[in-house]
Amino acid sequence: MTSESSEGKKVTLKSCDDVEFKVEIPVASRSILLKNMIEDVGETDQSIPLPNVNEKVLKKVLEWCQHHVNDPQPTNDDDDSRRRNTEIDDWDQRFLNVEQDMLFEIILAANYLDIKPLLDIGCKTVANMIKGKSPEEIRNTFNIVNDFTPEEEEQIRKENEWAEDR
Amino acid sequence: MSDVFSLVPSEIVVKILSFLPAKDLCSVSLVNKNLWSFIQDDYVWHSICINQFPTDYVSEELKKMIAEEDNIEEQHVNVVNKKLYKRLSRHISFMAKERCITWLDIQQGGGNNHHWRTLEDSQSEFGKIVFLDHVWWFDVMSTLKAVLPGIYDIVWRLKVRSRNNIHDLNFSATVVEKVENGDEETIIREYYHTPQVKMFSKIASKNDWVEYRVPYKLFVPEREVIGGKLIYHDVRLKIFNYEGFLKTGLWIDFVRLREHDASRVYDEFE
Repeated sequence: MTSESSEGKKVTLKSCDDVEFKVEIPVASRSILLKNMIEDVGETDQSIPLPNVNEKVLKKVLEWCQHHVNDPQPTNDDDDSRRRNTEIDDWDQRFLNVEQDMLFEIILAANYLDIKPLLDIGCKTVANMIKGKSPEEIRNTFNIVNDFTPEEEEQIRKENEWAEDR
Repeated sequence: MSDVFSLVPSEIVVKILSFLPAKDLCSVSLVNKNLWSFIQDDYVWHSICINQFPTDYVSEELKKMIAEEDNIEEQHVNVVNKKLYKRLSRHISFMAKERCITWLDIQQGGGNNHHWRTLEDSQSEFGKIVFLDHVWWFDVMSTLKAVLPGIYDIVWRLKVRSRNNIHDLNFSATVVEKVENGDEETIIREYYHTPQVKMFSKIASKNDWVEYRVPYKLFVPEREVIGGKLIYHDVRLKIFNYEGFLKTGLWIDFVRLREHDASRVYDEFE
């Protein structure tokens, strides 16, 4: 009985590949989507299906939610969605030090589950992978094919002159 | 084969781009057609502006920009925010327009020649410069707002007349921490440098405009968001000398910050 109450109430999430996760409600509520669902449905034994997130990604996202369970909830104020040029803390940096595919899957899951702080640091991590690189280095990093003709490239270079620091 | 940026929803790509400075956005526009099309979208530039600068500064600059170009709305609807970003991020101050100069006249009450003058100059990228005629109280100050984090060189574009009386000028820089939409400010770093007299005669012997790089490097720290408010940094750049001798024979075009680049060569005057 005591262990039951100290663990707190749980909710069951089901990934798209049918794996169930029992999660404490405050952890799941880092996701605004889940928070609203749980509030609407109330207590239930039914599992919540997440058709857009697979086991591997869900596990990772829940690890983030667990670590950040005591962070203040972001408000609905539009301004708060702006993380701008802020630093990513050490734990989050290590957490996001994953294969590129995984990084984008975490971003997509954070977007779908509506976890703004995770979405922000994920996008900022990708931005940091772009920073300081030449166009060719960016192509190599993200496996992108150059579909410009040399004339088009020249034209864009001209258009970009305004940003150059003379 | 499609790449990741064409697979993820466009709002995510916009969010990623909104963290990048102009130089990197130019590189991004050269990667492929898909990414190029994002950089063409003025809404993306709007996100970049509000993501990187304090809101009060963005709206103030937008007002100024509209006032300066009355036909902006018909002409440049699709580049308003791109142009705005350029204004916000260029870290340059054009002295003939934004100077904040105080002076004490030699003859109390003032004569026509005893002050700073604004002159037309075709060699200036702004078309106008200021000329120091005669002043006792030398105090040229300019504030660059919301400077992006980084290490910068400070560059003054100057010209010195052969018949001059200039020495002991202090080239100073102050980094001030500010809170978005707030009045409070904290000085976090101050830099000073007083070049020797011979520097001004060396510049005078060039008989032309020079870019004088101040020998210290300016460090602007990372920003933070506290309680939803952006903590950012203004930089105040100043040349001053309040000693009692009459100063004359100096032209100033602009002062600018340039990201420190060890490979860039500047003329040495000291």
